[in-house]
Amino acid sequence: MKVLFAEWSSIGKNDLKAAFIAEGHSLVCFPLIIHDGLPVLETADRLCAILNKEVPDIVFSVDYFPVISEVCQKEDIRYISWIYDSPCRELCSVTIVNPCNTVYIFDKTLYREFCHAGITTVRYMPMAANVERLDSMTDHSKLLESYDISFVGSFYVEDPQDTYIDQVMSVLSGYEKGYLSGLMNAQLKIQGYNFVEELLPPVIDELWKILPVQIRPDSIETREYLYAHILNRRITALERLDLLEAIADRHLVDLFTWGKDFSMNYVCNHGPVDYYTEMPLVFKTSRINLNISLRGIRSGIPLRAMDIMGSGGFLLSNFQSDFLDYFVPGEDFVFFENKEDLLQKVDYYLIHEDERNAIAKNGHDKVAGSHTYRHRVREMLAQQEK
Amino acid sequence: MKILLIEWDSYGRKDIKEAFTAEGHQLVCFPFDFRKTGLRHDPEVEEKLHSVLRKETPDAVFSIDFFPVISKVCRREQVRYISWTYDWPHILLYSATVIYPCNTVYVFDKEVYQEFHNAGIPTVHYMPLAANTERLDTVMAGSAADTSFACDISFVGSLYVENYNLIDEMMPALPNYVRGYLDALMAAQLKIYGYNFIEELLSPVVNELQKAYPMELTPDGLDSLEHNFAQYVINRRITAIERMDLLEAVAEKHTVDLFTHVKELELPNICNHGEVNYDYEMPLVFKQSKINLNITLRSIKSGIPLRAIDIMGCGGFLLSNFQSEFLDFFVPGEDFVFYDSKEDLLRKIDYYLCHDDERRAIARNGHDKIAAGHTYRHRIREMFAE
Repeated sequence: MKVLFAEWSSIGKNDLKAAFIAEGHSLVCFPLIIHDGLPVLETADRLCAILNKEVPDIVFSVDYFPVISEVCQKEDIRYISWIYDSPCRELCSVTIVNPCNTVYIFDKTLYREFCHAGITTVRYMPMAANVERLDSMTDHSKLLESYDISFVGSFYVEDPQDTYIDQVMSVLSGYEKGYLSGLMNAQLKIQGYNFVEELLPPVIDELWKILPVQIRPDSIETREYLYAHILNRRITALERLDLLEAIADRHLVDLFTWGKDFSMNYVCNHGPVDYYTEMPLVFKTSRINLNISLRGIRSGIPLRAMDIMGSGGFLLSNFQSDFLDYFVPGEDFVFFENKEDLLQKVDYYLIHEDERNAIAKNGHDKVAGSHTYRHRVREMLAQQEK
Repeated sequence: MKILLIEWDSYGRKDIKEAFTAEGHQLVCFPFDFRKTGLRHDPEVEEKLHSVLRKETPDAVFSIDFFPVISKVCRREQVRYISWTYDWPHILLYSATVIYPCNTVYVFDKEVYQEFHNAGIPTVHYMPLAANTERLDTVMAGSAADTSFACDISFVGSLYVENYNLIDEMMPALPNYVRGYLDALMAAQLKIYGYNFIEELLSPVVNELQKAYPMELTPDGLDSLEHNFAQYVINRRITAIERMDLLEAVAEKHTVDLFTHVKELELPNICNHGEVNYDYEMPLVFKQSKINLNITLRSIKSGIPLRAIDIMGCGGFLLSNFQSEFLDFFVPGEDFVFYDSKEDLLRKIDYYLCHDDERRAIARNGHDKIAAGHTYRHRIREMFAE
C-alpha cells in the first residue's frame, strides 16, 4: 500500500516508519507543522495538494487530527490514526465519527466509552516496541553504570499547563480547595479506576471562574474532562514522588526526568535521556524498572512499559487492567498494588536475580512475538483490506 | 462443655442457645444488661460474675460481642472467655483488655481480623456470621393466604437518620476546607466497593473534626480519632446517602418496601413499614420478597453482614453490594447475586424480577449452602473445637 504518513515529533516515529517499510508499504512523509498544539492553518491545503499529487491508498498519523480527517473525508480516502497520547483532546472532536476514520486507541476503557456512545470509527490497539532495534543495542559502554531501581518519566512540571493547578489552588476558597485535596487523596488510594472527572461537577463552576481552559470549537470536550486531565497529571506527580521517596528510604533510586535541577533525597537525578539512544540502555542495565502510569491512562499499557519489556528489562508496574489481555503478572512482568506492596516486591526482586531475569526474558519474548510495530502495522492495514 | 452464656438481647440469642444445647453443651445463663452497667468496670457485675464462676465452675464463658468487664473477671478467675462479634463497628474491641490471654475474640470481618493480627494481637480470630436455618424453615405466615409481607423489592435496615442529623449539625460548624475535603472523600468512597479508605485519609482534617464535634477516646483504648470519626460518623453518613440514593433510584421504576426503625421517615415512592421483629417478622419479609437487597454498612470492610446470611438462610433471593468474603463460601450468580454500581443494580432488578425460575433456583442454592455450612451449630462446633 502507499501510505501518506502525516508525521510530527511523536515518540517512536522512526520505529513506526521502519515498520511500514519492512512490511512492504511505500511511505510518503507529510510533515505536520504544529503550533500551540494544533496543526497550522495551511495544513488542509497542503494536505489536499499532496493527496492529489501522490494519490496514496491511506493517510496515517500518530494521534488523531481533525483537519486531516476533514480533508480525507472530502477526498474520499481512508484515514488511520493510532492514539498514543493520553488524553488526546482531539478524540473529543465531532469529526471523530467521519466514516473515513479508523481511530486506534491504546486504552481499552477509553475505547469502550466511545463504543458505548455508539461511535463506530474507533478500535482498540495496544502500543508496541521495536524489539529488533532494541535487541541490537548491545553497546552498554555509553552508560557504564548499572542501576538497582530506575524510573524514567515526568513529574509534570515542564508543561505550561502544569502551573494551572498551582494557580488555581492558590486562589481557590476553602471548600473547593478541600474538595480537590480530598479527591486527589482518594484517587491516590485507588488503582484501576479513575473517578476524577465524574466527581468534578460540584466544584467545576468555581474552578472555571478562576481559570477557564479554552474549549476547542468543534469539540465535545467538557470542562470536567479538561480539569480532570490537569488534576490527573498532578495526582501522578504526587504519586511518583511519594513512591520514589519511599523506595529511596531503603535503596538507591536512579531517576531520568526532564528537569535536571529536580532533586530528591537519596534519588540520583540523571536528567533527561534520549528515547532512542539512551533509554533502552537504562532499561537493560537496571535490575528493576518502575512503571508508574499517568493517571489519565485508565486501563491501557503505557509506552514505557512496552519499551521496558521490549528492551528485556524487568518491569514492576502499577495495576493497569489491559496488561491482563496479553501478559501474565508474575511471569512476564510484576504488578504492585500499593506502596507497601511495591516496597516488598522491590526488596524481593532485588535479591532474586534468577527469577527476575526469567520474568524479563518472558516479557521480552512476548513483546517480540506479538507486540512489535510490524505486528501493529499488519493488524491495522489488514483490517483496512477487509 | 459447661458454658456460662453472658446473655443480653442480641439478635439470634435464642438460636445460639439452642445450638449450644443441640451440640451437647451444658448452658448456664448470666443475664447482662450492658446498657445499665459499666462496660469496662462495674464492681457489682464483677462481683456477681465472680461468684457465679466460683459456684458453677464453667469450662468457658461466652458472649455475643466482646465486653472488657467480662474479660477482666475471666482473666482474674483464669476462665476462657470466648466472644463472637456481630456488631460493627465495635469500639469495645479496641480496649486494651482484648489482649488478655483468657480471650478468644471472633470477628466476622477478615480485614478487621487482619488489622489485629498485623498489630501482633493473637487473641482475635475470624468467624463469619451464621443463621439458624432449622428455625427459619419453620417460620410461616399465619395462613397460606397471608401474604402481608409480599413485596417485589424490599430492604430491611437503618437509614441512619439519627446520625444524619448529627453530622448535619456538625457540618456547618466545620471550616469550608474541611467540609470540601469530607464531601470529596464521601463522593469518592461511594464510587468504590471492596476497599474503604476513609479512616486512612482523615488525618489532614481530624483535628478540625475533633474541635467541631469532640469525641472521647477510650481510656484504655487502642482506638484513634480517625477510627472513631471514620467508622461512627463518616461511614454511616456514606451508607445513609448510598441507601437513600439506591432505594430512590429503584423506586423510580418499581415498588420498594422498606423496613426501618424510623416509622415517620417518608421517601418518595417507597412504602415504609417501620420496624419489623427480627425473629418472627423479618424472615417473612425475606421469604415473601422477590428481591431482598443488602446494602452493607460501609464500616464493614470485607465481611458478610448478618442481613445477607439471614436472607439466604430464609431461602430469600439476595441481591448484594460487593463484599469480598462472599467469595470465600458462595458463588455469585449461583447462590446470590452481586451488583457493582447503581446502573448494575437497576439492570439486575429488571432482570431478576421477571426471571422467576432463575431467581428461585439461586435462592434455593443460597439457602442450602447456609444450611450445610453456616448455621449456629456449625459455628459452635468450630469455636469450641480446640
